[in-house]
Amino acid sequence: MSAVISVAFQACQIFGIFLIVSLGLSIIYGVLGVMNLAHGELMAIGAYMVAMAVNAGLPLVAGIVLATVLVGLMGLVLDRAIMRRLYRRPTDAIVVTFGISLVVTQAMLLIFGSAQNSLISTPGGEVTVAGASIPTYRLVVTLVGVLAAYGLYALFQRTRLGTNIRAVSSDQDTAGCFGVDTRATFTVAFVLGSALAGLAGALVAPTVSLVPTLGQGFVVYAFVIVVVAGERVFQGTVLASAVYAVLNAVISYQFGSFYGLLALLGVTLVLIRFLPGGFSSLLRRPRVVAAL
Amino acid sequence: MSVTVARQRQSTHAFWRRAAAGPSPGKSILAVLLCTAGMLIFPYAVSEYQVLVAISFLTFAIVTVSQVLVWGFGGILSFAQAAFFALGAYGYAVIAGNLDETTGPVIALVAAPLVVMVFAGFLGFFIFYGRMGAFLLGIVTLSVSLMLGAFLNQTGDASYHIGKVQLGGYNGINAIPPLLVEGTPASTQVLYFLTAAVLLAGVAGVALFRFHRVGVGIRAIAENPVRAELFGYNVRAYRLSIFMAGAALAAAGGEFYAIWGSYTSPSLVTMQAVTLPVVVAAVAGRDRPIAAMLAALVYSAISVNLASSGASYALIILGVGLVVVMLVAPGGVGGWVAALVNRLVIRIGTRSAESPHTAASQDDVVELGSTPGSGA
Repeated sequence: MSAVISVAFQACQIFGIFLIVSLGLSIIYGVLGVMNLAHGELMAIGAYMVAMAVNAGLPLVAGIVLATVLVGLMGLVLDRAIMRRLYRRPTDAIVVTFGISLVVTQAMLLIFGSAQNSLISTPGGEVTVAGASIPTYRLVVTLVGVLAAYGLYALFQRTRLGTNIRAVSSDQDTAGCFGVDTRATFTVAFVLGSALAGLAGALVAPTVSLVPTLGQGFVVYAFVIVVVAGERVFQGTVLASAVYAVLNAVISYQFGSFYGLLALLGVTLVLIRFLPGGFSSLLRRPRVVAAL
Repeated sequence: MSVTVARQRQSTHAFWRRAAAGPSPGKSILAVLLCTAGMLIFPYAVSEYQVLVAISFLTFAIVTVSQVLVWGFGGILSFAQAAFFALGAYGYAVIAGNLDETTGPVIALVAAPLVVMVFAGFLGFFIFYGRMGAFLLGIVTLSVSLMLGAFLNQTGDASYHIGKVQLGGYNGINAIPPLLVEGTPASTQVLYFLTAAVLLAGVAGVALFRFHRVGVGIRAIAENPVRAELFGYNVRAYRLSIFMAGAALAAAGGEFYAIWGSYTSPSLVTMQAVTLPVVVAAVAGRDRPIAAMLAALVYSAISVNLASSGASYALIILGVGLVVVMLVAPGGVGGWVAALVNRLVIRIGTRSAESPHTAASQDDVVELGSTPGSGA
């Protein structure tokens, strides 16, 4: 029983991280049409920044905020210097983001070395739920993930900026005709996506061993989540993140990471076959079974 | 100046303009022949060690060309080419390792790509008959590849074996049986020429295929699947076939890699290895097989040299190089070079037609006009 609860909370934590990573990826993909292969590396940068901040004596919360902001700024620099030239060139962007990820990974290897375990401990102690002791930090990560998702939802639905971003992602030319500054919107989207990657990396930093490739495991799932979320980005991403988080937690706990990946693929293939519109179509058409 | 001369000059101009305009079978054949000549001469120009190193470059070029076939022509953004390469290597190792050492390697050489092709057919059936979108296709092929890597990595236990061959987990399979020529392992040169032959056959096939009726259909599908389908093409069957053909070609590259190093390991399917063929093909121009082959060779040479001169900086330089190249030459270096050469051809061609004294330089012109970039 306590094992079940432990896995359930593990799933919650993964859910929080998946949510943040895939929303970041999804914003960049939705607006720029770019498959950002450097997303995992931005996560790693966020994680290292937190570790550095904490080791320098800052409280963890400050470190997380700082990492998020700094990775966002890094996104701004990347956008101004490189990505700006690649809007509407998704193929070239694959190569370029791959190049960026190579550079970042290697630079981090050079600076920090290849085998560095987490330097910061998980804060906050543990709480006991029905006989299972759960690190409080898991709950915090879950909460932050949900809050971040809700904050983004509010941003996209209730603010002018959010409306502009949605307009550009659905039809760039028309949005431009209505006076939306599309290039500025691209920049905002890329910075936002980067900051989210930084936040996700910062949040996982105390729970994983710090290696430059720490983001990759999350990003593979996030790519899948972006796809199966469908056109209603927020609701779809929340549903998909939940499903894959449970899948990841249960399968990885029981059988190891290889079977976790196998399950990821199997479930995705089945989902695509029977739910071509992704999780979004579940929301619109209640009678899914009829559509099979 | 008489009318005849003027007309003659006009027709010469038209010839060079035509020669410079877009791809044609003639240019492709010329370019492939030039590459063939280069590869024939190469082993006699360098040391045996360099030939040995070059074989692994050739195997990487084979995967990259398979990427061009599948992605540039087929319009299928596949991240599975490296996985097929690895499967080809493992397939050869397993089949050859289970048979006797004289006929085994030959049977394995033929059988491994077929096995991989069947696997690709199985995977492709779900992908294409499930009508997956482009982005999704990329994700699925990517996760299949990474999964293969994860699977191979955890086969360290002795219970993971196929027949007599242990899969070996992280360390992979060692001591893979070599190809035998008259009872002794094939020499470096023989292996080089075999690999080069497979590569060139692949390149020629892909380069000329676009002019064939079926190739035209496949390009039509890549450009706009819906339109092609409305014209009566069986889009799914076409895409599945091209995917399988690409898998077989990549697997052939993998076999030669396995023979070359007599080992194979899961490091062939890391995230980086999986994305590399896509990246190199994109740098070269994804629908340019000859440019892709050259880019793969250049890439391999650079990365080997960088690695020997200071491993940690190699990938940084490479990454920066990729970014810069894509910013300077949108759509790939191949197209950029081709445009440059074509302009040059028109310039030189029309000028030499004007003054008959410089006609001798036309030999150079022919060579220029058929540099790989333009023929691809």
